[in-house]
Amino acid sequence: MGDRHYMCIYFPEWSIDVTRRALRARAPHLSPKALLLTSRALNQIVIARACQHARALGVRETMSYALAKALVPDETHVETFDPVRDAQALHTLALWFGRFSPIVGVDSELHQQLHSKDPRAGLSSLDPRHYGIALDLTGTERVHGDSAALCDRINSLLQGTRRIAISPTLSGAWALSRYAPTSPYIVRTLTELSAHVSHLPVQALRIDDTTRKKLVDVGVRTIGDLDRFPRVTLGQRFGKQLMCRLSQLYGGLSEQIHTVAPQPTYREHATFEPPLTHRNAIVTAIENLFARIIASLSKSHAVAKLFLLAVRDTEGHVVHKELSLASATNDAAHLRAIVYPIVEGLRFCGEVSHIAIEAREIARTSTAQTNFHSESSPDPEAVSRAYGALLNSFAVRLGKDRILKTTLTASHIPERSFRYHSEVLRPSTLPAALAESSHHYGLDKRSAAAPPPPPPPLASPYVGPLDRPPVLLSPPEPIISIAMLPDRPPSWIRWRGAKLTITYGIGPERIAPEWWRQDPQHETQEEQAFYERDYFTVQDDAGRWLWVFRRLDTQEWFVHGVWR
Amino acid sequence: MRRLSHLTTPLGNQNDTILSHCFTAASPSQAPSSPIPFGLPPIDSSLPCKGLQRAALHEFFYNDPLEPYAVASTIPALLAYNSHASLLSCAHHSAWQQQRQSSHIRPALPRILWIGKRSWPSPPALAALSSLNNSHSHSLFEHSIFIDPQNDASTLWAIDLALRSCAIDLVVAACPPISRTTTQRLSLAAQKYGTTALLLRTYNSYSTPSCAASRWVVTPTPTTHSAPSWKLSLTKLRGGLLVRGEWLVHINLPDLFTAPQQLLSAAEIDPALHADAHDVGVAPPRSQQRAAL
Repeated sequence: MGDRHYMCIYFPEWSIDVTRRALRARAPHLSPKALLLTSRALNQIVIARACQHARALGVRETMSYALAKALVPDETHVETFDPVRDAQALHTLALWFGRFSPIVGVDSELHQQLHSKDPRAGLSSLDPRHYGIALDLTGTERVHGDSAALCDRINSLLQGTRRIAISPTLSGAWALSRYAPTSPYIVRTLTELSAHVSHLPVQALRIDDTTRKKLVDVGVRTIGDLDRFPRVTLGQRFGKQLMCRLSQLYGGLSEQIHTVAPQPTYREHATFEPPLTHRNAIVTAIENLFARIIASLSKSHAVAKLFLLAVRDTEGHVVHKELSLASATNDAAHLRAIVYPIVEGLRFCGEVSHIAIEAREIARTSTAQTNFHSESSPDPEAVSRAYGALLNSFAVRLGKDRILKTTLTASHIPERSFRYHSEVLRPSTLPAALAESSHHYGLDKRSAAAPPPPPPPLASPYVGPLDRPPVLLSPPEPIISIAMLPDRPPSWIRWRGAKLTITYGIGPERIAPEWWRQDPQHETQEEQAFYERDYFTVQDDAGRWLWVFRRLDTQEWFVHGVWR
Repeated sequence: MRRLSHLTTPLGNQNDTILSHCFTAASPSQAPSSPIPFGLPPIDSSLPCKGLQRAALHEFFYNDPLEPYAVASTIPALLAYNSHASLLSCAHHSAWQQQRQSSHIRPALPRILWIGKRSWPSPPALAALSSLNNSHSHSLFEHSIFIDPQNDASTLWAIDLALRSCAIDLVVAACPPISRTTTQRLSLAAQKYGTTALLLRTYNSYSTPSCAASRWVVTPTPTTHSAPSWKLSLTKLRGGLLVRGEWLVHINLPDLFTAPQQLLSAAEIDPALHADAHDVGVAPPRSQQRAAL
């Protein structure tokens, strides 16, 4: 058996590179001179990562943000350090490396933290040296040719800071990629390895900090220094870990790569020669493809939330249809009921030559045992399933943004005291969603800009004054009115073309703009500028109750609400 | 035919019992026979089943020439609240039962669907209504789902679909103009699946015949009270041929210092005293600046 070949690619500035890339996609006009990533430690903001330029100016990790700000130039972009996003992006990049070798993985420490119960906590304290990818290149020489040529090829495909090393052992490749003076650094045989690693510092062995300190105390600074001691005494004095790492470095102990596995794709397509011309045939073909995709989904105990349908005709026109469901499903009958009316409503022009369907947003089926016997109480599982099915139907026919729930927000301004948000498009907390967001890195050209987060709902629901009208007109309707005195209710108003005589009025109730907000001139488009208003509750002679107000800046009158 | 059914009655009854046991598991309407009360004693006591019948269609018309397309909102919201509160106690009970068996299953609470933008009450008003009774605080608000269909056809489709779902307890919809056949179809669906629908219709479609279980007309009425009030007229009640009624309903605007217990109060309008109808009902005092013109 010949020597094995492992490649390690180390990204010393991975988090900075990912952030810079996301920033470039989000705001191409920005070109910050320096980039800082901050995190919260206890009650102060500290630097988690700093770019090379900032480091040259003296910024270090764990330095307080206030101090760092004094060192960097004004054109510095500061963002919050998001270790999970970065680790997911690295995971995605590792998947892409599958083209060079079947055995690819991220650094074992990173892999462990990423799949732990609380990845955020573990990853935030992870050493940046663990942001790397490992490949087993053994036996791939016939495909890729010489190691040096492969290194050049990978180097040319990657952007950002990276260091590459190839060695007969995984530990050797890890050590050389992190600490070798040049990159790429290639060691071809096991016998050469000890000569190449002897001058590397002992940290290159991936030992913990206490062992490293113990070694430095006795004057051992490089791996070469260790060779001068007998192995037995080393083990007795510095523990098992050091011995294990040394054996792994010289190939005595084998080491595994925690391989990354790509998500299975659920995709079915069919090509028709001669092309389909009859409408029924096209619909039947789509139905068959759906049946196949549902069969493969249920076979692997998966459910899908999004189905993409593409129908191409002979002239090359493609009809795309997105069937986005409210809750994931692989229930054939349910899908048939809600999807086929949509499919039948599609317009095809010409002869159809190719149909493809893909299931996206895959999740695993939940197989929770529900109560078997319930006499008086309804089965909650059946009800929630029925609810999911109902929302699915609404989402497909009406659109997800037309199924709304409402939350109250902390504002005394009537039109801002509540907000509608989609019941279906809830921010997902699944790791799959994170994987999808990291998918943008490098491989997908879509913009990495995330949608704005929904407003935080109030912890304790705020109930405003109870004398607000049950119906608010949006936007308020302008009226013509006459008031005897500036702070009295109007005597009559003209609303919707009719003249109403006011018999009774309560007010004024002044509602002022929120002074803690920005200047009303510069408020966002969706929230129109708010000016000071005087509200009156008035009754007309026919018994209508209206909530009218006068804008204090223009003295214009409006009807804002009706009691009905 | 009659004899045959008579012969099979004992067996049929048994089967029915077993079947109904099976169906209670899937149907959310714990007590389909329990009515939806208005919570206003003068109205509830005059109705034969002490409230609105469940698993049926009820129509509400808002009679105001200035707002021809308006639909009433306060009374349906009150009914939604009462419907929800009465079912919620059942749901809480079943949730407690569930928790004893398995802690990971969330209870399925009854949901209220508001279909069509014109039927939506303003969220602060809905929240205020939800908070009236502290024991179920904010449950109506949290379990309200608002559907905004693009056109009349979609609205009707959504109403029909919602009525056929066992996850929905009450559908409140701003209904487009519909024919008698359509109301019959919706009515049958409501009956079959145990869902109740409050259709809010415009007054200019009042003359179309309908299969609804009851029809109500809401008309704004001038009063000397310092609170909004409406005349609520019952113009049709299925199974209650002789029941007709008119009530004066007003909002009890709350005193700032006392907790509001009831949003609305109602009083029957005696035809003989119709002229003095305004004096019926007492509005509590308000500690707010007022100005009578």
